[in-house]
Amino acid sequence: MNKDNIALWLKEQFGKACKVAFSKIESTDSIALFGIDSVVLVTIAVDLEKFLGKEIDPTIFYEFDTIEALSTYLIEEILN
Amino acid sequence: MVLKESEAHKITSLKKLIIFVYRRHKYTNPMTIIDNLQNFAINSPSKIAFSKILNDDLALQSITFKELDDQSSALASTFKTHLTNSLYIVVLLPQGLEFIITILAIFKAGKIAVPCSIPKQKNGTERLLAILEDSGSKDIICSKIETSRILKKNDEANFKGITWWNYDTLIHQISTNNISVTNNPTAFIQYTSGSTGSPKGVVISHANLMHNSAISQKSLQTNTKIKSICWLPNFHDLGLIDGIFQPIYSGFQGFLITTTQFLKNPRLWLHAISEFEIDYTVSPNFGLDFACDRISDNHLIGLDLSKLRFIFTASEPIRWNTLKAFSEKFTPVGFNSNKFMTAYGMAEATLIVSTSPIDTAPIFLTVEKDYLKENRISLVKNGHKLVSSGIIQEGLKISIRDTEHQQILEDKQIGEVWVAGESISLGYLNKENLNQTLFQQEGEYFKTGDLGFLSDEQLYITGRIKDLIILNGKNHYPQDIEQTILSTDSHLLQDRIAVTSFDDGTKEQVIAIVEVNRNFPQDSYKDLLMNIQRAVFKEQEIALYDIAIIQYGTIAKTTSGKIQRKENLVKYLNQTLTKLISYRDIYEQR
Repeated sequence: MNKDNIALWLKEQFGKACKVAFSKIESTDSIALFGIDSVVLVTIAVDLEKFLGKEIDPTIFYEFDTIEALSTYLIEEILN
Repeated sequence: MVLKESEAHKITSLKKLIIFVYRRHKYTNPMTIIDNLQNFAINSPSKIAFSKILNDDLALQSITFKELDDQSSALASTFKTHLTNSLYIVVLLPQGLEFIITILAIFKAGKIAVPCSIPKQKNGTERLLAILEDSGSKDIICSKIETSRILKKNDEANFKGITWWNYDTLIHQISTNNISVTNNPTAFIQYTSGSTGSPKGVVISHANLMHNSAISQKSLQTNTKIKSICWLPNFHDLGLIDGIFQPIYSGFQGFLITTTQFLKNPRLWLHAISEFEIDYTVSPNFGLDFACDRISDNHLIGLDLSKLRFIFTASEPIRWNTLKAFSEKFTPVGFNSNKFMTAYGMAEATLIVSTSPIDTAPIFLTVEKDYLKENRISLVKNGHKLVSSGIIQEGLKISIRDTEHQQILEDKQIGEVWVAGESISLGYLNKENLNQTLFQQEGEYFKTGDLGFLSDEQLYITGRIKDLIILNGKNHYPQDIEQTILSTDSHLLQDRIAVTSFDDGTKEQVIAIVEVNRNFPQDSYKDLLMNIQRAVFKEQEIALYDIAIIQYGTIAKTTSGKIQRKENLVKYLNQTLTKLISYRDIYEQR
């Protein structure tokens, strides 16, 4: 598991959840711009837990609100 | 000891309120929830009071009435010895048995509980700090892990003078569980309203709690033989009063799952109901929608809701479509529309104000939606289905009043809902001026700020006078969101930002209408919209539906310069704003 895998996975999830084309999601875009509901974020957090095998607090999306920041945080803080 | 004038004033006003509460209730109702607890501890010591569901396999951690009584007495004795700083104790514990033991121990020690949500985000302690300031509390009960997490993510200096008590340490310092219970007339402070910076704490007395618990017992038909389950947070009135106090009041087994457990796996809630043959549960409208959306038809296998008597639904507008979709989805596993109990209530009334009867399908009226927007009722054959919130509870009074002249309105006339009775709080802590305008109207009524009407004794809630925004069961204040927006760019102006919300038929949508000053560069509009959206998301945890930048000087305000959120919303919906650009214009092009 490396940062690129995680970023790719996140892009797919957000694309699916927010019905935004994969190609239109930039790693530096804020998740806020996808018009996402807080309950949807919880379900992404659940899937992320399964994907990484680590416990994830759903509020991380507000703190690290871009795919770049999220994947950096996940690789550096959660997986290590 | 020399006090600053402001502090001295605060203490005097606090004392006055306490004396007032004491005098009012001293002779009327000396029993408290502790009497009920001790009664069940003596008469049915081995009966289970609470069971926390630990995981998706339904493993349980349980406590009997006797254990609950003993452990809370023991903790109360430690509180009496060590927690001598203040009368108010802030409780920052996760949903579970520790929280319940702590609240009961606070009552027994004669102190006042202040349950709060645990700040999760970095620098997310603004509300907690405001509550500490407002209540004058110097003591926080928290777990060791959460304490270090909170202090790591936030400036420790902000908590100068505050003692963080570690629950696990306190419980191990216990020397005796033989204590004499001290009675304080006030039970707890419910900080469910007010903006982040100026929270409003509803003062709930033991008498309020006992009165409303008796009302709940009667309308929910609770007794020692039933079981309930709750996933709502402890610091939420529904989670606290119904999830925790009702089982103690009536002596039955209450199951608990955390809100996070529910959100991660809503099927767990229904699975527990099936497995443990639970009689009733509570959920705001969004919880029903959420369970409906997230539980696939394949996952209905293994569920059995035939023993469930009802789901109590309150605390946000009840949508006909939600009830219909939920019933249809779960009919194959034994649910039907008679199993809904629709209700209305608020923290200021302790909890319950009105409920629909058990074993009855929700009652509704079909009305013309456009008339409803103008606060008028017109019954039609095909139109918007307005769900009744039931009938007023015995022991409480309701009155529908004209919002300007306050005269009593007739059936099917929309006005402000006023409620009276012993369940009604005496007011917000340290908010004397506000209390005078909201509480004790005509000697008894509380002005709820909600709009509604009566029809054949049924109460229908149609909207709000106040600008409060309710999203997924959580209250948000437009002032907070406006402040966040204001801080994103120096070209934005104080009192020229309106945040408001509307119902799009399926959910509440939040919008912002903003003016920028004239020298704002036009090519930066898009960036500004993105920055606002991002800031609101990060700080308020809300994704705005739309942000409209409008021509300078055209935002609707009163003559005295106060922002008119509703007027701006009407202009937005009618598309009569002098709009320069909006977030949706850009978003829809994506």
